[in-house]
Amino acid sequence: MRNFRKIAIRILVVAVFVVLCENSIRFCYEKWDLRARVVDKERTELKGELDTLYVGTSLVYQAYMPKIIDEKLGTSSYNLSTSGQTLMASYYLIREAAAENPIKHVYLILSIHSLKDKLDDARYLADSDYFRTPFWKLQYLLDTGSDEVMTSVLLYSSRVESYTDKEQVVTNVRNKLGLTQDTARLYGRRGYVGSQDVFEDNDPDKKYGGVNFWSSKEGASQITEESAKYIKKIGDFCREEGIELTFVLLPVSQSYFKKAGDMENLNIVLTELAQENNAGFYNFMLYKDVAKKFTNEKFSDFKHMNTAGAKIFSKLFAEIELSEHPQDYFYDSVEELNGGNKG
Amino acid sequence: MTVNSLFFLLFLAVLYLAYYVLCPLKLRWVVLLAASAVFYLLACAASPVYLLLTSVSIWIAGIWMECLEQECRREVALDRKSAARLKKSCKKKKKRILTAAVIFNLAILLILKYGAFFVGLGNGILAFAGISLPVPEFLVPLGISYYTLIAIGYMMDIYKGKIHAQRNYAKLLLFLAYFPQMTQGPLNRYKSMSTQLYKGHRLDYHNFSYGCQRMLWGFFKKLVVADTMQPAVSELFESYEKLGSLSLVLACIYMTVWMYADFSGYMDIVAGASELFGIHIEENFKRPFFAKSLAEYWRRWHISLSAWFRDYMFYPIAVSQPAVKFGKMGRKLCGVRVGKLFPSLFALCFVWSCTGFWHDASWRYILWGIANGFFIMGAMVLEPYFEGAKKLLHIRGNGKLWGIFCSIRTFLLVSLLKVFPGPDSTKATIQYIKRMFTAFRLPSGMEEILPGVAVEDAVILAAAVLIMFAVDLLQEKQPVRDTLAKKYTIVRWGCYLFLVLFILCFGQFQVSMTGGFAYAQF
Repeated sequence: MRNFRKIAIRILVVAVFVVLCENSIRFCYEKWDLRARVVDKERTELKGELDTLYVGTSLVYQAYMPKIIDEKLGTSSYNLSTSGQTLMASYYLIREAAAENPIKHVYLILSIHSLKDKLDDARYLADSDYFRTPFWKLQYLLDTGSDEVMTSVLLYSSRVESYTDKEQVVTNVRNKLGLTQDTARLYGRRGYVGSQDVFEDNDPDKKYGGVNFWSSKEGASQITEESAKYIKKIGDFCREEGIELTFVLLPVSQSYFKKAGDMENLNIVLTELAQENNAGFYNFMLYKDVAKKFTNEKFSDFKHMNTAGAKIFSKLFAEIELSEHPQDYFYDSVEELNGGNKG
Repeated sequence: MTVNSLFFLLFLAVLYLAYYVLCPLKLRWVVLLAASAVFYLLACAASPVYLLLTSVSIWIAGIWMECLEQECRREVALDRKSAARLKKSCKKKKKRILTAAVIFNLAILLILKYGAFFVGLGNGILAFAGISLPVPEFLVPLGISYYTLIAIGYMMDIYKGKIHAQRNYAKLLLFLAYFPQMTQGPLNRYKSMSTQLYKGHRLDYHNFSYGCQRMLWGFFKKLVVADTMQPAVSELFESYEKLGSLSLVLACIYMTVWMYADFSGYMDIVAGASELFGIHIEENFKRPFFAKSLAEYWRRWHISLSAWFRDYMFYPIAVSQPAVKFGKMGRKLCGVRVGKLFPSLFALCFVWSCTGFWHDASWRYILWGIANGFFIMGAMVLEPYFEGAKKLLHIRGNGKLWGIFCSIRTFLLVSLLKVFPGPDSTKATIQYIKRMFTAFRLPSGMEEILPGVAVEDAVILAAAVLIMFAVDLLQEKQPVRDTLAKKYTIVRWGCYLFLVLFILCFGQFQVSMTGGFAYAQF
């Protein structure tokens, strides 16, 4: 027994030391204006109020302005998207939000990237920052099954790239201690992130190293096993909880649209996927006025909207949601779209 | 799960509680067996069937050989006149069983690990006839090279009558699959392990303390030194075509230090983990960079492997009929002194070719093994001439300076031999060596000295390497842990917490399936 006490005390000392070190390092080196920190703060404030979620990648957080949509629809929505969000992270983020809020509607915004790309550990690690509670963070981490992600989450020190950046440390500490004005929240209203950049119609292949491509030959088989699994899980969860689920494909720049592969096939695959999961589906790539309304000036790059684009999109989204016949806003196929555009 | 992951620490914590709290003293080995099974399943993607085949085969062979031995003794007791004949007949039968079991286990190893190499070799030979066999692709079980040698050693010890066969299959399986030795050895011997593995150990603070210290030191070597150095080593060997001689030599030196930190770091982690349960596994390293000759280096580096080859390959071959005949021929041709060495040289040729081949099924490793053997044999043959030269130059063999010179010379030789395994193919190895002797120029910048490592990381790395060698130097004089135990609590804890902080801040935590351990691939 004496041995046990001795050992337990020593383990405790080391554990306390590690926790202290880790928290100190995180305090000094984690960027004070990190979006995850702002999002966490906002979600904590809004806990219990949210009824609508927009979930997806950076395309989403630069497109959906919850403030505009809420004004028109009378909802209390939140843009729960993160950069390059995996569908696994989407599933757990939805579950976490639903556990804390009376969620009625989830918009799962899909992209070629989230459907078909095989992602590395860094992606899962970045998503883990957006969980509000340790319980759901742990659930998510255990599901990733990655030693590396688990270690990086638990030991923040493993994520610090340079310990000699004094300026960054001073800025972080001063802002975190509230010694300077918190400007970070300017970009963080209900998860929306804006950009003032304007897309100059550069060749996406040259400027961005290629676009995500959807092949008509491979069709639905391009969707990774993990993505398919979590789309189904999201569908099942929403059904069980009585939450309405809608899949969305966002408008993109015409340069992207031309290079992204067979969009007709993507439309067919996602329509089927939506039916399988008892979900609605809006394909904004087939929006009747897409070419007129979503010109290059509405994008910050070849697929992300800028603030101007997001405002138009959010108003349009709310208008469609209020409409009794939302499908009237869309063509049924790319062929129709091309014909319509020509006409 | 790899031993440098947080999962492993969690695994150890659960095991520690299960071993000392939940399980009665007599059955504690069962907890270790269960833990080893869990560890194997979590660490290795390949099927455990091969491990089970090996364990069953040596279990049956061991009991069979022992039954024959007992039967022989009974018969000899009844008929003392025929003792010699009976013993000879028994030995013959035992040898057949041993041979069959060894062949069976080696066949598994050869097919799984070396199948592709042999088929590739066959295809090369049969190419002229237009025949091309499909190259097999097996998922090689983690640690197969290690547990196969442990299994063979176990059977040979029974054959020689050094140990008794283990009749309890579960206990034998634990010996073979004990989790700290599973992925990279050491090649433990049954004699020393059986007395520790099956005995229930009581909770002991000393074991806990020393075990944790050793693990901490292992994490430091692996996470701070080896994993920080690894990208630079890989980068230099990958871009050798653009580098000058000095950079190429530096790459070899880095690789030696990296491999030491990586492999000995692993050994410290698993030895410490085992010590937590009161089990002391074989030591695999004894400060190899203080060796004064290549032969001594191999008695200090990967000790359990060298000892295995010495006991189960070198000695049996050196006293075999062909070696004796070779020795006689040597005496005729080269005189008594050199001729005497012929059986050893004959055995060394096999040992070093097999050592190279054991590391990897490729010509560059076989060449590396042969090169090691060449230098060791050369030193044996030329020893009198070296002694003569030393006398002539008035060099004191036991002098400090001479000792330092010999250590540096050995370190450089060991490092230069890394030209064989360093590049990723035999062709690249040949080009690398060629370039070392033709591209004479100084490195043009940091990118040719320590690529991929930022200046601040290079400073940290240099400090960490210095700490590692300083501790080795202290250990060479007296055990560091014992010295530390005598210090004040504040000094002791200062050292531990400094090391923890150092690892947290500067450790690299990118782990892969093999934990990024160099020797796990063997």
